[in-house]
Amino acid sequence: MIMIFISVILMTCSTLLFSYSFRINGINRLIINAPLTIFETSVPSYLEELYFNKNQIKESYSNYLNKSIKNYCNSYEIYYRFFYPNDNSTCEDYCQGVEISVEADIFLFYKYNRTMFYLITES
Amino acid sequence: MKVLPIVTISFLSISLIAATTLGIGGGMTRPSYSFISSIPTPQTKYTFYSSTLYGPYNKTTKDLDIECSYTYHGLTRNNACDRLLVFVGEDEEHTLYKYETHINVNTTILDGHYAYISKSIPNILYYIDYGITIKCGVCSNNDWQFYSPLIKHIYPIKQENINPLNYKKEPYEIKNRSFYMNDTEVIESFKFTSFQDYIYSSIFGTIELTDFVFDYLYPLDFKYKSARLLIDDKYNLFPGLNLNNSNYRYIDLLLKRESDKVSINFPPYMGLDENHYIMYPYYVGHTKVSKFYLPKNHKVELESTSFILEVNEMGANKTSFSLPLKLYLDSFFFGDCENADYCVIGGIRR
Repeated sequence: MIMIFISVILMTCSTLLFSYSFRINGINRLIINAPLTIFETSVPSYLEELYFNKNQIKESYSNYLNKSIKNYCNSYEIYYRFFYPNDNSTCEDYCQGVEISVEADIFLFYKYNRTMFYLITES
Repeated sequence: MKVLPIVTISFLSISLIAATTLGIGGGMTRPSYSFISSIPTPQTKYTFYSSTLYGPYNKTTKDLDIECSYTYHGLTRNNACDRLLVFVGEDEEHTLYKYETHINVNTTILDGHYAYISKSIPNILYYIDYGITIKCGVCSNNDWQFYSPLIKHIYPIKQENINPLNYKKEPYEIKNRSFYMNDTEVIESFKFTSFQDYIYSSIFGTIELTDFVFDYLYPLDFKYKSARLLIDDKYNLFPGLNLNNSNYRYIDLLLKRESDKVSINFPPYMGLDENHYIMYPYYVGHTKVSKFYLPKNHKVELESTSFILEVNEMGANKTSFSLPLKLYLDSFFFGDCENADYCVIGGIRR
């Protein structure tokens, strides 16, 4: 009887662990492998001064996440911070760097949190 | 019984209403135009001055309302008639509509006879491909010959396929087609000064159509049926675009007129596949972009890909052109880190 009980507990735990790691890996893959195209196409191409269009990045990035992240979490938040690549200070306009933090509710009280940065640089 | 055809017109007006719509498109309310004449000099038998009625008329237009009114003096006998003729082209034998009425002689003729003819002529504009002539005025009762007719022509439109590069210095002009007019010439004019047979990619790896602007002179709105950039996609570099009947990939373009300039533009928003740099004509489900991006790392294939700029039935006379273009790729200022001077990099913030 005890063995059956332990087996059920182990089965439940392993299922939960699988589900948990599946969700974390899925979100990780989405966020870490976000295509650079999202950011490249957010650089206005009519000027030779290179900078990110803030609204374009926000729209493109949230559209990108919206498509797939719902398979892995119940809700999520995206935070953007634009910065100057030279000194990492916060930037208001004509920014060449962006920091994107994603917080997602994965399971029970666990929150996934990952911050990525993207910047325009000389090749 | 002779009539002295000393016809002096003191007032003449004609109005002609194209029954449904003008130009491309339909379903709008009836446009109407009117002509008001000035008083002729006594020496001139028949003079007419008016503003111009612009075409072209839609072939699906169902009927044509014609109003012709005039006052004349000098008839001394009763062998005159009022007459309205509408015929195909300039061939009076091919009459589409005829209206004749004898003038009832009375004392008013001595002071002046007022004639008013108003007719709705159904289906007449189906003949617009051949042109129409409208003739009205006073005629003889004996042989129905007009004394001093008022003659107006609606010429058929003249559709042409042109090569814009032939009209870089001198404009391509079409005169007096499909217009109801008096003495004024109406000219539709295209001049393709900045057109070339090639396109450069921008330093951002996009195609720009900024050079494809042409001069357009014409008093009414600019209209066109379709405009496309066709791509002979033999390397399958643009799989997101639709294929036409000739197996060319294409994206619809927009022609926009500002004053006397018409620019050719990509749609305001298109879609780009984030992972493979594939363009789509719609942005739903893709990254929304306002530029036409070229696929990465395909310089050689792109330079041997043919592009065709095609515009169909533009302007009043439905002029079309199809211009083959070569693509020249420059080194990129901004793009991927391998091929451009500047690029985007990213990573995990610890």
